[in-house]
Amino acid sequence: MSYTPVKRPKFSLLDKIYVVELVKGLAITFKHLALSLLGKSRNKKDFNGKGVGACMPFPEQRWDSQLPDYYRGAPTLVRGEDGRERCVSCQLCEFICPARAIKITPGAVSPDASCQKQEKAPAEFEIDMLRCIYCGMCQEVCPEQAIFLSKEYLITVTDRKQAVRNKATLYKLGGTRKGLVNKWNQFK
Amino acid sequence: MSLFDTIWNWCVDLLHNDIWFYLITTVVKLVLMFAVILAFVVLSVWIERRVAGWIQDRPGPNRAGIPLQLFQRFGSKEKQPLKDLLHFFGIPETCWIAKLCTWLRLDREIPTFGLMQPCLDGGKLFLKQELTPSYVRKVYFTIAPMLVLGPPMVAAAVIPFASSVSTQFGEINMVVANLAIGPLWIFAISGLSVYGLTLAGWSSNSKYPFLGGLRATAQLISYEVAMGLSIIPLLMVFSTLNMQDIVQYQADNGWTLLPLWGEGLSWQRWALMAPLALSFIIFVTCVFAEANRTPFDMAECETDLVGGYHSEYSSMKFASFFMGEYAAMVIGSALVVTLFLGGWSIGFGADAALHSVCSWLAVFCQFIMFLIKLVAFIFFFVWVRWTLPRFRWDQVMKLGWLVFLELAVANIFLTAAVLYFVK
Amino acid sequence: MDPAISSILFYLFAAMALICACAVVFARNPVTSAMSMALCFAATAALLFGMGAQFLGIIQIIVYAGAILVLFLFVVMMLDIRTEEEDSSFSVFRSLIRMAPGALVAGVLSAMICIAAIKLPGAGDWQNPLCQVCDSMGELCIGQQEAAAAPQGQLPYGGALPRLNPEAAARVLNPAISDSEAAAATSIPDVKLLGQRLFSQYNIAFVILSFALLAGTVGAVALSRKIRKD
Repeated sequence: MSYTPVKRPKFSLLDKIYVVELVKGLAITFKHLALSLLGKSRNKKDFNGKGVGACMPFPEQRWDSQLPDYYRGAPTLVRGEDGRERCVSCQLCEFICPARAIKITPGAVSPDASCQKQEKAPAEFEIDMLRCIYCGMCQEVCPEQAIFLSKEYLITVTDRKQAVRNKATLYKLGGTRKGLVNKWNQFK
Repeated sequence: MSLFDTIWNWCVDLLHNDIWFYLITTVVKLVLMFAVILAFVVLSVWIERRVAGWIQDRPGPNRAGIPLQLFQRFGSKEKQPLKDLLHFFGIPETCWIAKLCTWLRLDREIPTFGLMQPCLDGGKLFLKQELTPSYVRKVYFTIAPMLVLGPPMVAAAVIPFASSVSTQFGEINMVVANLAIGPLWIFAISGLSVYGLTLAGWSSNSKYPFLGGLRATAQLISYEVAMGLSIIPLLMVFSTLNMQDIVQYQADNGWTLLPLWGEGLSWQRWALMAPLALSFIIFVTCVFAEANRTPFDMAECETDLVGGYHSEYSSMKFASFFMGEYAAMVIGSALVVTLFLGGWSIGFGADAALHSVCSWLAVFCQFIMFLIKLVAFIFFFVWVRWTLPRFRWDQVMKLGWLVFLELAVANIFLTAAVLYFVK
Repeated sequence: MDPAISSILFYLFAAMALICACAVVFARNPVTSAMSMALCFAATAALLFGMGAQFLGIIQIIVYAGAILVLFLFVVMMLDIRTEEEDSSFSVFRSLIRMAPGALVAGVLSAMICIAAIKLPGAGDWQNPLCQVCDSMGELCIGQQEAAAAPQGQLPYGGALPRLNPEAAARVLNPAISDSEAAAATSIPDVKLLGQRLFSQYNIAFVILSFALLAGTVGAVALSRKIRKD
């Protein structure tokens, strides 16, 4: 087996005595301490911090507006621009979900739906938020672009049952999504 | 004669009796010392977490304010629960009770700067379910936490927290037990806490706690040797083992590490600084090792031992280990302060001057000074913890046996030479 | 302190030491044995404290309870103690036989100590106050004035326990001390006394012992050291 020898630094006697290095280290940490007490910590602006240190005190100030586009929060179901339920109850997300958080009960497409070309539609779609690990695999696997991870991260419940989100809640949270999915287009 | 006079006279008579005087003053001092140690255990947890936060550019625990949460029980979850509370009891908002509450800032959270956090954590641990695994050796499993928490508390008995006061009934020495063997008492008693760690590791009947127990034993024994040898130069200078006399000497002749008054102004005293500073470094490092603190927290090193010797413990038994560690840190700090930083002495001859004004005032100031020094050294403890990474196990052993032991022995001869040739 | 209280404490700690010493022998679990031994040392240290020999007491705790016994525990912990505990072939007769050699050695040793104590000058005379025994030895003067002042025909050690005498100790430490200064001595400077004796009168023995210990340490290191072949 090939290996790369790690180059160890040569220590001088002064380094080995350790006291000087110790004092240097203590000075660094003390600098951090003093700066954060004065409210002048490094990176404070980048983190949008207030008060002591570089942190934001959480419930009062939030990072929400600066969450990146790729942020993975709670999964939600979305409707198309035309108000169509995108989910066709293929259950791929249910199979791929590593935490087994998703449970789909397939049903027939409701007669008053705008598009009747699909074979199935979810009768019930449940995501257990206590199981969800926010991996985003459901979003990745969905052939219909029906499930998306939102930026919602504050999921607080007082009861285990409350943590299970049903179809209505998921559609409410997801809203409509722009961008056409032409698969079930009338022209096709 | 009024009832008050009768009680007063009875108290005076009681205090004139030597045995009762001794008993009463000792109990008062004991309670005071105990309260200070326990308060400092809580305080040092707070200092630890706050300073850790500041060093890492965080605020640390700064919530846990007192009454808002309580009032929310009664009122709604609105922004001003006080209003609802007043309304609930039918008190008009303009009456004096409402004004008093507002003045006391009861209408919002009273800021405690997170000081309540350790207390609440303690409460949480107290109320948690106690879980004793079925495979442990129950008797030793139960007594091990006591053996960790007990010794530091007992060891505190010989630490003087102020000078002595002479009253009309007799002299009160502001140390619980004025033994002639002060530092040795602390070494002996705090050395006993190693039994707690060892037994906890062994009785848990599980791999990682056992390794933690073994490491703790080996480490504590190794560093006890260097620790005992490192203070011998100091004792050669003081030529006494009584802690009160040691501090008195420092008050008169300058602190060990800051000889700026009294006899300390002579150059001979400064010639002693080299060995004394060396023994300070060795001693402080050994205190870190004895208190099982980072960089020497081998016994509970999470990366290789899960939780070390207290992996199997929960609830209040775990809290005893936790408190024992901090109590050991407080006692270690008190010992360093007493031996090297002048204990209760204010310095620059202020002790004698204050004593000539009013000895009770002097004692009070000295007590405050002692607490200030204690807090400062506890801060140093925490500061080092959040600066240095943990050593490797073989490095710890090597440092103890091959470096500090030799240095301490050499230091004794160095001090003897300085004392012989210079003075 | 009140003689009655010190007597009570003496008997309490003496009983504790004896009971723990028995527990060391009879306990089936080696860890229990080790812990009772630690308690026994602690009780002995308490006895020394009661006699005013604080330094000796604390050294007893530091050296024996704090260091040596922890090493014992260290080794014992690594044994598989279940085999000892669950030994099914336990019988009184066999255990008695096992204990016999130990009991023999312990008996001979304690007999030697008793003989040595009786052979002290003046100790054979039961009427002789303890202070005179010590005075005749010219040593640390354990005797106390109360014992000397005890009424004739009454055993001094039947009543108050003999305690070290601070005044006599101060005189031993500094023969030129004035009477008033000696009388003002309240505590026994046992560290100084011990140091003075150890490094003057018994210096040669002390140095020889140290060399023996050093040789032992060097030997242990030499034996345990792994010799690298490469």
